[in-house]
Amino acid sequence: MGDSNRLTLVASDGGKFVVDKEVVQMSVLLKNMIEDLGETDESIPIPNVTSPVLTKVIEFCENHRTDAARTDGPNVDGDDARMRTAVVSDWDRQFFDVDQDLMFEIIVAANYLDIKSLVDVGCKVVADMIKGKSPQEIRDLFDIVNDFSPEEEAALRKENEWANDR
Amino acid sequence: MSHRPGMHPAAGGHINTPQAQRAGHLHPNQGLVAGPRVTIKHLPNELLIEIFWCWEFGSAKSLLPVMAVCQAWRNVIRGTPKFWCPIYVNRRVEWFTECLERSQPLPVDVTFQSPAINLPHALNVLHPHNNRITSLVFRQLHCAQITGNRLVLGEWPRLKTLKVIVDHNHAADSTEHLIIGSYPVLVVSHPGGLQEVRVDGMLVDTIHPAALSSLRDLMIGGCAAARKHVRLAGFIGMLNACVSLEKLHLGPTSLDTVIFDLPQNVGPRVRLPRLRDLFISRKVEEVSNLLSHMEVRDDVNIWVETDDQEDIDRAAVAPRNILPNNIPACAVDILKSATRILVDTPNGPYDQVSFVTATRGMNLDHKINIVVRVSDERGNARDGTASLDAQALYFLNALRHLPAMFPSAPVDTIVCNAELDAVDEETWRSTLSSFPMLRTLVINDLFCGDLRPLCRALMSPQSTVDQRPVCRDLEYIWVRNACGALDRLAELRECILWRTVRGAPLSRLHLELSALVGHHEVPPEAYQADFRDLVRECNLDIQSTTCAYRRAEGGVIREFPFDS
Repeated sequence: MGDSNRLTLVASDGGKFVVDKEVVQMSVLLKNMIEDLGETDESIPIPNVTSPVLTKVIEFCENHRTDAARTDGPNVDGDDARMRTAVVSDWDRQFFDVDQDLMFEIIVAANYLDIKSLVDVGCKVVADMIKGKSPQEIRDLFDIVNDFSPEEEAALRKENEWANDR
Repeated sequence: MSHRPGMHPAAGGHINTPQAQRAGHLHPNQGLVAGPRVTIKHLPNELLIEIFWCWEFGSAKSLLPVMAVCQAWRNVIRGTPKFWCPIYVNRRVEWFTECLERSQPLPVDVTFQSPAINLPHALNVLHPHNNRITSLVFRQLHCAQITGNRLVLGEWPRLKTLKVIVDHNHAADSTEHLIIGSYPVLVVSHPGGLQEVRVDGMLVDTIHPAALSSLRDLMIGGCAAARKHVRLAGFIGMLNACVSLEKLHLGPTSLDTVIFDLPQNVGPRVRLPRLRDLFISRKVEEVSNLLSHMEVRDDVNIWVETDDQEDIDRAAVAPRNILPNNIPACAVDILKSATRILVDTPNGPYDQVSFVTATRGMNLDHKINIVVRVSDERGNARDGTASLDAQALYFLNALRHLPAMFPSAPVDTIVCNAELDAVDEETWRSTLSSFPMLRTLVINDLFCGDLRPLCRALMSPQSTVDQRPVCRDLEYIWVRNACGALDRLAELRECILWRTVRGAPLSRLHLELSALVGHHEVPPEAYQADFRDLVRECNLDIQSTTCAYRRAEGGVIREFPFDS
């Protein structure tokens, strides 16, 4: 019989991670699952998350395990308010100082695992990257193709004109 | 085959333990499926919305650059109603219409920002959405845009907040207004759930009294130089229609349109059973008259404020004159039930130069604040009505008028935050004898003043008939920053002794005095023992500098025995 306070997560590429249950429970998905499974020695496969991403996710959860606002706490202000007031600490910024692919994989994994604080911080970081940039600069930053037709471009210009006409 | 961004069809792994499947948490293809590369293009819409929501600060306009990045982003933003409310309306109705359409079906707050708006047309555009508009704000409406000088608010069943600021200072369109001299009227015509109305530069009326019955917060301001055309009874009638009102704010010049054609205490009275906060700022005589026509319980937080005072003598009597003439006959309860009074003439460049604050018991939420204002220029320069001499006069006059302001109030505490030297012995005697139930007296002096006039007043009989010491229940004296020179201390000691032998001993004495170098010939410790013989609880502290100045906040100096 293993340590009942720890469990093993298995990434999509087979990587195994032994972590404290308390840490894992920042994920609503895994928390519910652990509650339903009860005591078990079985490892839990996370088929959609690769080892590098799971490593980062666990790192985030380890660092935020003592945060007061946990996933099971009441969210009195609602998700919208939570999103807007989420504070990105220096540690969080450094955490997301990775290449774009990994950054988005972490955010998507956090969304899948339902780790609200990680989703919030990730979205804030991306929002900060977009802030103050022109559409073309945003496209360049994220390698996005401008797929508007000339007519749509014209409609956009008109909309801008309306919005900015005081 | 199409798939949601972030869901890669090739990856089908899932958590497949038997227990997990029984728990029903995870299914094939649920959530993230890691492809060869995840970019922002692969984020599900819900995450894009969260990212844009982090970035969007109050209006959809700020998201326009993001909408111009690619079709997918544009569609996400256009298709997410929460990005489109609140709505800020400029003069382009096309933009306004787009925002309204895209915000459906959510409730919306609409703010008109532009003075150049075609108001009737804009209201017509809005009206089909009237069952989801919760707030309407007109920030800068030209009075000429209000047809017939009446803005009639029809049926807006979900409207909770209405704010209208009318601008009367635009040159081209103001001719008619200036000739007529009457301010436009906001007419609330349909009963609904309206809770908050704030108007500036216009009046409020109703053709259906129930239309104002849900109102909790009413603020009227900015009717300067208006021709007076609203009779007082009509104004009182409008206020009485607001039966649910909790906050009433009548800002500077708000009463300029009202004809005070009723004598004080004669005619109808304002009765607002749920009122909690009352603010009135205007000419002293007009506030006085209006208050005489109001019934205000003593659990209402009242703030009355003069207009800017330019005449020192008028300013000096303003605290009394702003109250109803006949206080025993008026229905402002706190004037009759206050137990604590603060007189404060703040030491500094303030435009509020004199306060009289009264509370009932320790409840600082229920009080009357009487405030004398001067212009910013006077306050900053500290001259004229804001000069030190003027403030000394304000303190003196406030003390003289306290008995008339609170004629039957069972006052047990008086706190003075002012210049001690401004008050002579006779004034102290007269004031103290008017409050025979006084138990606590606090003086926070500004300028190392002389305690002796107060001491001599305290060595007086209550009256010619009652020869017992004045304020015979006085048990606690706290003095800060008065002069602690030897002769002053000697006279204070004599005063306490005099009262003690006549059956009116002090039980607490707190002295934080100042004595400039060379002024205290004996060490304070010697006097400490001397006072302790007379007063059970005595604290004597003499310093060579004045104690830090403490200004009242919200009309109360919290350190002093208002709440200690």
